[in-house]
Parts: sequence; structure tokens; C-alpha cells
Amino acid sequence: MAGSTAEPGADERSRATGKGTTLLMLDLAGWRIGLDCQPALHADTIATRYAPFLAPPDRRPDVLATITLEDQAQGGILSDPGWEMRVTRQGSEFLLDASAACGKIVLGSGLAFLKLTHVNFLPGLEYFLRVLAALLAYERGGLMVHSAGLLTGGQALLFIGHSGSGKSTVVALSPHASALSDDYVALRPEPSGWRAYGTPFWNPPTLRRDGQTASGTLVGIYQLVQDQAVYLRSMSLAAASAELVAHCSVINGDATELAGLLARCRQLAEAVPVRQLHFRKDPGFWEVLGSGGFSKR
Amino acid sequence: MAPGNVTLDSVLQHEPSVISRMIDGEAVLVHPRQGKVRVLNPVGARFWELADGERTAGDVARIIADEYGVELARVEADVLAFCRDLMGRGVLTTNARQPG
Repeated sequence: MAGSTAEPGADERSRATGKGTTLLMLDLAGWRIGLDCQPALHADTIATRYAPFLAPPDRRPDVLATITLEDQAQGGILSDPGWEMRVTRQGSEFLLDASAACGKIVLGSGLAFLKLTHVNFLPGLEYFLRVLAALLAYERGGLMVHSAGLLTGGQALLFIGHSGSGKSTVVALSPHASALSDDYVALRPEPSGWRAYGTPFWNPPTLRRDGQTASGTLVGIYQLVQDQAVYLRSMSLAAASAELVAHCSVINGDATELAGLLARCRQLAEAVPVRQLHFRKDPGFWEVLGSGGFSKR
Repeated sequence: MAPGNVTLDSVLQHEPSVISRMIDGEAVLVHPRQGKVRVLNPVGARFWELADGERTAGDVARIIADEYGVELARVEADVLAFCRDLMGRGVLTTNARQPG
């Protein structure tokens, strides 16, 4: 094997493949995503960004993604080409297309590919990884949910809501709890129930990410509603299932998976209480959550 | 047909791409292209069940009026308004009833 591109003594979690590339292994909720970085030069940048999630390459990844940065990558480090990717499905393949990136995910074969053409490539890689994580989680029986997650006393609470609903606010108002994420939480069904996992996917301004590699038994799901009054409101199973579907991005845009997604969200809503949390921008909502059995500790 | 043109003679049918499921008497509708989800209450869910591509808006109104014991004229107005709403959201389509 050719000499490693990693710093001496630093990294058993990256491995030179001997082809001018470096393999990084990410552990996301126990699912393994291998990143074959071509050329190896930008592997350190990726490794630094996802350092808390790096894992030893001690087993075959669930998905091996080849990440290629074009030799003649355009743009400056401060410029932003815009990374919103169009995701389309062709048979068993998912195609991704953005102004400075294109990719393909073929979960059936455990392979994915991403070609980046802009020097400022990390946002594009992040977008790709979010899509990949959503597809992988769904294929493996879980879900990636657009939500904030908080961990207290080993128990996880999920807060769902679209952009601007207050997910980051809830995290900021909960310094006593560990934050799994303020944007994207992974859920896995386990024999003891659903488990919520932190992820590397956050809103950029949020600096406190203390729980991003943690996990806990999911005991409550709350749809956020900003209000003057603070209270919990029950939801019908149909409404709860619908809200969960609405917050499972990527999968909810795939017509062939919608029926399955709705069934899985129904299962989740049957297993974990889902309620509306009406709250103000102060920590008072923990009092009503406390009445449901969860408390500031 | 444009939503504003729906009449009691319009045959109602689901937009083919919409996924729907009944859960505890309510209907969950998922529109894949829009990425939107909507829940219909029990009366709305009953409407959705009846809008099967065979019945007209008038047929549906008569059935609902009978089942819920509400004056027909009021239900007809409600059904037409509901049709326009669902058509505007892209989950319902209509055809004019064929003579025969």
C-alpha cells in the first residue's frame, strides 16, 4: 500500500487506497458510509469537517461513495455556486444534479458517486450526504427526519417543524439537554423501540453540538407551533403520521415510496406519542414537557 | 377542468399520483410532486372515498346529506367548495359526465 496521506500518528480512520485516494468511514446512527476521496488532497478537509463521525474502516460500509473533486475546479473559496440539488429517480438509481455537482446513488449495489466542480465543495458534499443518509436510513428500516433532537436522562425528544418553526430556538433554550441536532435527526427501530441519533447535519450558526454523536430512546415527538400560550395539544394518528411524512425529506418526494413511508410514519406515531407543542421563545415549554414526564435535570 | 368550472354534474376522481390512506377515520393525502401532505377530517375522508371516478359531485352531495342528516342544498354548496379547494391543491380532478 502506498504511504498514507494522513498526518503521522493521527488517523487510523482514514486509509490510503494506494490509488491516489483516501477512504474515510463515517458512522451515522450505526450505518457506515465510506467516502472514497479522489484525489486524496481534499480528504483532510472532509475528515476535519466530519471528525466526530469518523470510524475505523473495520467493516464494509453500507454504502461506498466515490467523491471526486475535478482537477479544474472553478470558483473561489468564498464564493457559493448554490448547492440545492435536484433529485430524480430512474428505476433503482437516484440522480442528483446541481450547478456545481452531479451524482448518483444506487443503494441496491451499495454504491454512490459525486463529482464536485467548485473549489468551495463542502456544502455540496453536505447536501449529497443528507440525501444519501435519508435514502440509506429508509432502506434500512429507519428514517431521517427534519427535526431537532434533545437528549435528557438518556431519553430523546424530537421536535419537528419546517424552517423557521423554532427548532434551533428550542435547542438554544435547552442548555441542560444534549443536542442531537437542530436540523436532521436519524431514527432507527430497535427491539426496545425507536432510537434517535445525532447527526453531523445542523444549521450552520448553531455552535453547541454536544450531543451530535449521542443517541437515546425516543419517548416523545413534538410538532412546534409558536404561540403566546404554552401548552401541549394532542394530535390524531392521521395528523401525526402526516406531519412525520412531511418532515421526511427526499423520501416524501419519491412517488414509489410514499405508501411505504406513510406506513412507517404511522408505525412511528403509534409507538411514540406525537403532540403539538405550543411555545414561546423562552424555556417555559419545559414545564409542560415536564408534565408529560420529562424534566430539566 | 379548472376548479371554478366544477358543477354538480362533474365526475370526481383522485389525481392519480396522490397517495391516500385512511387512518382512524381520517384520510391522509400525500402529493409526491408537491411534497405536501394533507389530512381530511371524517367528513372530508368520506368525500374522498366517494370521489371514485364514477360518482358526480351531485351524487356525493346526496350521499353525504343522507348520511349526516344535513340539508341537501347546503351540502351541495359545501361539496362544490371542497372540490374547488382540492382541485386547486392538485389532488382532485373532474370530468364532465358523459350523456347517456
